[in-house]
Amino acid sequence: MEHPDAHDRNGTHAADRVSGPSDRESDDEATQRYLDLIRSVHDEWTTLEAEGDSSVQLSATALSTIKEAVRADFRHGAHVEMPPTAAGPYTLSEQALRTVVRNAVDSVPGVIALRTTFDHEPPKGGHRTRGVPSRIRCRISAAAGDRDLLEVADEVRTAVIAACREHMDLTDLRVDIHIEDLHDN
Amino acid sequence: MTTETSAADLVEVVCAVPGVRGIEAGIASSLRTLDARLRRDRASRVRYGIVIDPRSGTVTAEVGLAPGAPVRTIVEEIQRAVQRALDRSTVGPVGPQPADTASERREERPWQVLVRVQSLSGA
Repeated sequence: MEHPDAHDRNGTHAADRVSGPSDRESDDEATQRYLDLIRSVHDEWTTLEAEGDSSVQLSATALSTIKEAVRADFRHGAHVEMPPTAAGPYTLSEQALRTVVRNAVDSVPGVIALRTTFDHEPPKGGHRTRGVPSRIRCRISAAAGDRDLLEVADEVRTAVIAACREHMDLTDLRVDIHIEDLHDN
Repeated sequence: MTTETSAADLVEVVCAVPGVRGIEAGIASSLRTLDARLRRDRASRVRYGIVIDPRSGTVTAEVGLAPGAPVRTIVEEIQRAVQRALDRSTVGPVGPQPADTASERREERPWQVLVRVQSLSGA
């Protein structure tokens, strides 16, 4: 099942991404390591249980935590590097970053945020980390009426740029606005 | 007198920062927590959403924030609160030496506090 925000998460549609032989090889190796790990855990727990060691008896809450952590990770998406604060580094999940942008879009009267996607600089971090955002594309629905749509787009762009500067100190951003739909007030 | 600051202590420190809705653990820290608990291996340094790593001198805090104040302001307050708590602690970054040895003593090297903002929601 494709995640509804697959476009947002990847910047491109998931189906558009083509994995090369080296990617598949790497995936195969990772899968094998994971299978070996699970096998090892099974063996270890079997031994411990046979010895009456209660430490392997996970509570229902602990088991639930694992399930929920997996679901949460799916919601959060990858982590996006941000310019560090004076006290250290930090990241925002794609979900949190999208929330900042969508709140800015929705703050403009008569405008509803639809889909938001990001381009990123190359990441400095590791696995599942995206670099600092360099471009934001906002698809919106605007209220049908007397307002000039160019003005609406400029207002949305200004709101997004201001929010990104205020919340994350992102200053070198390109923001594209696409009015995808018109709705009645 | 100082004592070693545990991950459980840092949970309280982080949650006391205005604008923090709570600790929002990712899958990696959740699994590390269970791993440490099962191994009974320094479980005090890992809690869901908080990982203290003396080897790298890094503390990772995974949080959910409430909307309102600028994100980076809340993040910086979290970082400074954690650093203050660790400054009062006997545990410190240990560089390349193996952990859990006598060499694990505090050095004049500041902790790096990595904050991972998982979500922005709620009132």
